[in-house]
Amino acid sequence: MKISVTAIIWYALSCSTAIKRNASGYALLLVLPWSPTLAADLRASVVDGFATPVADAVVIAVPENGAVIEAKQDMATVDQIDQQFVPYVKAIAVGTSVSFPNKDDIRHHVYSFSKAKRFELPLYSGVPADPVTFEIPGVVTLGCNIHDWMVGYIYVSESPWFAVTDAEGAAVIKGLPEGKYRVRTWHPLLKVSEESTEQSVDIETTLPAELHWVLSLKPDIRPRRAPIGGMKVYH
Amino acid sequence: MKRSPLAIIWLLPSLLPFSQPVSAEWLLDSSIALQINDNLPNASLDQDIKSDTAFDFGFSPGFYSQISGATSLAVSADLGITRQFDYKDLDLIAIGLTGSVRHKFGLGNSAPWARIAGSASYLEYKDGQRDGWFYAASIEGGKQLAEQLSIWGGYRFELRRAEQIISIPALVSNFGIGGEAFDTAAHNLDINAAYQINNQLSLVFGYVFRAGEITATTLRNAEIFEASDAIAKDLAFGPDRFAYRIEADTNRYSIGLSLACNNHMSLNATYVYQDSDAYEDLSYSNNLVRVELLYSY
Ligand SMILES: [Cu+2]
Repeated sequence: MKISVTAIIWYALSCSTAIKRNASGYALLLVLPWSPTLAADLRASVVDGFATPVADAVVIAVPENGAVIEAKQDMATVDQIDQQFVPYVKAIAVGTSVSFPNKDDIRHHVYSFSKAKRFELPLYSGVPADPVTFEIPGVVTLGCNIHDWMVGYIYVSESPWFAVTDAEGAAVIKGLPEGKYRVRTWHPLLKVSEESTEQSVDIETTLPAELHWVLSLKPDIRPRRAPIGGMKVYH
Repeated sequence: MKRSPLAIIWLLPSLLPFSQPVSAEWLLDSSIALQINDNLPNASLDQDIKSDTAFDFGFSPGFYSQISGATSLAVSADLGITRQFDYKDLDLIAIGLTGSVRHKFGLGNSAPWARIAGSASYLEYKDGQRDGWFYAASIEGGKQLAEQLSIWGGYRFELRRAEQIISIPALVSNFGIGGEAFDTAAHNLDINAAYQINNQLSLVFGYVFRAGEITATTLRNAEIFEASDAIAKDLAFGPDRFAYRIEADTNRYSIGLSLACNNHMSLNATYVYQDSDAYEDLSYSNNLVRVELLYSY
């Protein structure tokens, strides 16, 4: 691997700021094999066992050398529109704060029981005053205590390199720096463990790398919203 | 000027004590259905059994208010129109009000809930003798047992009071039997389960135990009359027919399939078998089939 002299000097200068701790105390040390000019996109495609494109799959790339990357203290948004969480699956980096604006003209009561984040936003309309910060990597399942059919997911990634597949089952992780990565995927209906989907990719050139998954998924059964009928018996 | 009972819809917002400052939202339940009943007069003897099909339309606009994260209140005005294919005297317009309070015990989809509801309707039949008021009060509870399985059940009291009582003078004077054949009261216990097969289809099972009075119609029959505590002439099912009131225990079993068309609409098919045991070996059974398009918003 070539490491340019400029890069070594640049890296040495930036070392002092690259070692940081984020809010939750995760050590954030940037020790990526470094060539600031070399980066490539990772194009991922995900289908199910019937070769149907899988939307809402999160693709996560983790540097293979165990390097931990500085978390961005980003802001993200999960809307509530027509009594649904939009998007259905939102991927964020650990440390990100998420706002939950209610764009309906009725009130929602958002909650999560998940290990990665337990929280409750009691009955509200508009934008809640404080965003919710997600400090632990993992999957957070969202619900609304008023509308049982409302289900959404926040995937909290330990790596800043992630993307979510679109309706065509395609996702692009942009500008992945040179190096080897373990890349895995997660989906709400995944039958197997997330770890078992792991593949390796080596970013050596600026040409896009490509990875493909065929996932075995559970049936997509979401809580029903449509009314259920009954009998009218007049005595 | 006679005001339509539906005008009460416009008064609903003021009936909601929590409408200020807590916001209320509109809700609407409507249905179009075809219902077949193979024993419309609830008759016991073959000669009295008549089957008929009815077209049924329901329209219930209302208000819904979430008082807190756990408790909600709903009030609706209910319009029901039934058109029988053959027995036209049973054509019905029902206008009423329903109020309910629902409480959820905890957070999440599997938290149990309870609901108390009350309703009052005025029933106007083509056969004026059947006109009257129908009241119901219920308390029920439910819980999602698994991701695809929910159960609910409860107790319901029903009371029907006819507007006018037309007695048969000879029965009153000779046997002291009045004409309150359409005044009934009953206690109901029910349990239901819904299993969601996929995003479109749900299977619904129900069982009701009903203890109380039923109204049935028969030709002149001394044995039946003896067991009845009220008898009135009933021309709805033909000449020489009599409606009578009798105490009975009813078991009602239902199975239904509900197909979700979208978030607000579903097509439902339900089959009901009900079996009533009255005095000695006097018993009644009905098979009912209902196909219904529901729209809720
Ligand atoms: Cu909601």
